[in-house]
Parts: sequence; structure tokens; C-alpha cells
Amino acid sequence: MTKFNEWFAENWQVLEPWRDAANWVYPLLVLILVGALTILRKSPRGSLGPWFTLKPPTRTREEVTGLRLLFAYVLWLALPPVTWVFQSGQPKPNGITHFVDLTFLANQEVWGYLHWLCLALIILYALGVALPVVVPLLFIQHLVVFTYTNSQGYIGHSMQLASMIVMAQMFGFTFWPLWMRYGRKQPVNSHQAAESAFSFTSQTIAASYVICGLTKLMNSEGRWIADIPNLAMQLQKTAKMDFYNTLTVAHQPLQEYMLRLLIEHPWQARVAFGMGLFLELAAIVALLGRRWELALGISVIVMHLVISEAMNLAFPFHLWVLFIFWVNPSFWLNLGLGYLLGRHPAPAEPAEPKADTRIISSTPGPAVLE
Amino acid sequence: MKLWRFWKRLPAKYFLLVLLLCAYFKDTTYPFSDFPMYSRLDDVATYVYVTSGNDEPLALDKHFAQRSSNLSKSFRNNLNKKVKARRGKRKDATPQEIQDSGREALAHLEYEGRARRPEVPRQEVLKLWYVEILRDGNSLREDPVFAGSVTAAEVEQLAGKKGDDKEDSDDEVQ
Repeated sequence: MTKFNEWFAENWQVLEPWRDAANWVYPLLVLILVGALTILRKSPRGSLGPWFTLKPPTRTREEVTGLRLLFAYVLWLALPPVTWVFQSGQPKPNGITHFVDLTFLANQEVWGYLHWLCLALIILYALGVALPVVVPLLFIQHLVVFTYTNSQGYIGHSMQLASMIVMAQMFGFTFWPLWMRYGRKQPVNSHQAAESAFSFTSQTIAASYVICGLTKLMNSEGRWIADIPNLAMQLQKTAKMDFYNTLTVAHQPLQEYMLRLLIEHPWQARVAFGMGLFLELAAIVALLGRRWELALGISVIVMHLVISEAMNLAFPFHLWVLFIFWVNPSFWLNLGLGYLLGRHPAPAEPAEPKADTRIISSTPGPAVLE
Repeated sequence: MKLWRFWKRLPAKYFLLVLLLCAYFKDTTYPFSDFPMYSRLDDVATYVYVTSGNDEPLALDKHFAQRSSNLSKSFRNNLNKKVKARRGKRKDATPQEIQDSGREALAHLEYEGRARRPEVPRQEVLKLWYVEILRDGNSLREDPVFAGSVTAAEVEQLAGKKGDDKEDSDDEVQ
């Protein structure tokens, strides 16, 4: 292997004629993966069945409570502190600021009151009180605060996913039950609403990573993998920008290593960095259930941690939501405790919702692995 | 009717809905985004930094409660707007366009910095430097260009002028 590495380091240029073809290796791998899973899904359902279901998982009350409490913590982290000074204008309007003047946020007295109101909403969310009303209000809070901060002439990308998740939960907790009650005449209970809210949440996370991968393919006109060695300049840029934030030099061995890799071994860099594109496009596979969510959740978290170390680009809210909803400690701990306490029932197939059932009882008790 | 039946049979509808909304709105409408960070890897990367009148670098966080990435985006957006107005490209920007864009970005930075960091003594003159990072064989080369300066007296006028600007956000790609 060492001999191969030495040979490769000296002769990597032999791969250069294949540079354009290499652009499509990872997208093709994702297509093959999705195709294989589609075929396997249609195979006779045996022990592999639960690995290939597209039905949203059923959740116990304990899991739902765990998810809500953990996400409430993220909402609290995302809330600007009461002492926060917002900028004074909206020079480059984004979204609703085209129609609404949100400069009242710059008034510190007003934000002082709004902050405590938002905090009260987060506490109500954590307690699970009046969720059909509280979650839309939380979405309005996210929409107002972060549209305003994105109307300052530059767009940040750290909060969109968290806000889209609040939107997904608004659909799950508020609009879907309303549609079921008045549109389909099949009212659902609060637990079913929570299950749909967290299913929409998981789908939102998958969509955000898939669109990120597709954007790379489209904006680079399909040349993203071939252009990966140009990340060297971007790495240098982020290091310099980080320096000018505080005027302190940070010693980051991983960053230096990656810079050398990108400059001296472009093909190895293409393979390594291309895995990020593969993971983003493969996020669609998370729709197949908890096991895939867990595998992808851990992989994407590792990807974010490497990016954070190499490029000083931390996405803490992305890490949190991946950990809460895809790694899903609420479910796995509940399942593990169920086993330990001997309360674990036999694995069951996901329940098919019955069309004629008007109110289905919720599912308390230990988790079931689907 | 067929379309409705097709939609009803589709799994993961919400996934598709979010995917379409993000692709349609891109970065123009929060909370949707197509997440364009590092989606185009050009052979040149740029950043900006701020110095005092004596060319001493200023820490953006300490002086203005701002981050370098945001200042860079703000400067690039101003520059894009100017070169787009004459249907040009950013890499062909004239020194005048670079300095006008830099002055606007600096004025806005200082105007907000006064409110957000009132405890920090303000500078009489601020200068902006625009740096291009290029590959030079097996190493990287940095070419800094002077990108304009503002005096304390000019800040409000320039920042106010910027505040009246209501143009659409551009499709800036990092």
C-alpha cells in the first residue's frame, strides 16, 4: 500500500484525462445506491423489510417528549440574547422585508420585551402546551428575526435549516391536524400530530442536504469534483478571514494538512472532499427509516466537524438538529432502556394508518425498532 | 385529476415540497435557501480586511461586532451591483468601482459599529483592502488592492445613502 501511495504521489497526472468524467462518479454512486434500495424495497419482505420502508416511523410518547425537549434547547440557543443589538436598517431586503418594516427590532427596549415573549414560547413548546398555537408563533419569531439579520447586505446560512424545521413542525402540529379535521373529516390526536411534525422535520433535513448537493452540481456546471483543488484558495481565504476577525493566529494542523493535500495531491483530495458531495446527495436515503437516519446522521456530523476544523466554518445548529432528529438519542436510549428493563416487545411492522379510524390512541411505553 | 392521484401516491411529499421551494426561492426568501456556499470553486478566492489610517489592521469583532465573511459578502454585493449595471463581470471591475464599493461597505460597517461597540474609540480614517488569492505553481499568492477609505465625517452620509438602496439581493455565490 505504501508503494502504491508513493507511485500515486508521483504519477497522479495519469488520471488527468479522466478529470471531467470524475465529476459524475459520486452522483452516479448515489443514483446506483438509490436504485439498489428501490429494487430491494420491492423484494419479498423478510428480515430486511424494515430497512427499506418509506413509511414514517411510529414514535412513543417518551421519544416525542425527548425530541421536543432537545429541540427546545436548540430554539433557546438560536434566540439572540436580550442584550443583542440589531443593526439599524434593512438595506438589502430579503423575503418578508420587501413588504414589512422590521426595523423595530433595532429598538433595544422593544427587543427586550420580545425576547422574554419568545423565551416564554420556547418554554411552552418544551412543556408541550398549546403546540398548535405556540409553534406558528415560534415560526413567526424565526421568520422576523432571521429575515431581518439576512437583510443586511449579506446572507448567512447557519439558521435556515432550524427555521425550516420550525416551519415543518408548524405544518405537523397545526395545519395537518386542521386539514385532517376539516378537510378529510378524520380528526387526529395530539400524538399523531407530533408524529407527523417530526416526520416532516426529518424530511426537511434530508431536503436541505440534497438541495445543497444539487446546487453544487448546477452552480459548478457539473465541474465541482474536478474543481476541488481550487478549495486550496478557499481554505486560505477562510483562515485569513478568521485571523482578521480577532487578529489572533490559530494553529490548525488539519487545515495545514488539507491545504497541502489540495495543492500536492489533487486526486486524493478529489476522492476525499468528493465524499461530502456524495453524503449530501445520499441524504435522500434517510427517508428509509431510523437506521439510515442514524448512519447518515453520524456521517454528516463527522463531515461537519471536519469542515469546522479545516475551514473554521461551524454550523452548530445543523449539528444539533442532525444529532437530535437523525442520530435520535431519544429513540435509541428509550429502546436500550426498554431492553434493559425487560419491557421491550417483539419488533413490529410499522402500523398502516387505518382510513376509517377517527381517533387512534397514542402509543405510550418503550420504543419499538421498525 | 391524474396529477392529483400521482401526488397522493407519492411518498415523502414534504421532502419534495421543501426541495422545490428551496430550489425556487434560492436565497431570496428566508427561510428557504439552496445553500450555495462553495458550490462554485473558482480559481481565485477573495477576502477583505480593514485597517486604520496608519495601515494597522483592525479586529472586526472587537471594533465593529462584525465578521470578516459578512463584510466580504457586503463588499462583493456592492461590487456585483456596480459591474452588473454596465453588464460587466466582477473580475473586470475598475479601480473606481472597487473603491466606491469599498467605501459603501466601510461606511455601513462603521455606522453599525458605532451602535454595537460604543465602548471602542473610533478611528478618524478607515481603509479597506481587497485581496485576491491565486495559485502560483505549488504555492498560493495573495494580491492586495486598496479598496477605498472613509473618514469619520463621511460615514453617516454614505451609510444613509446605502440605507435608501432597495435593490434586489443578487445571486452571490461563495
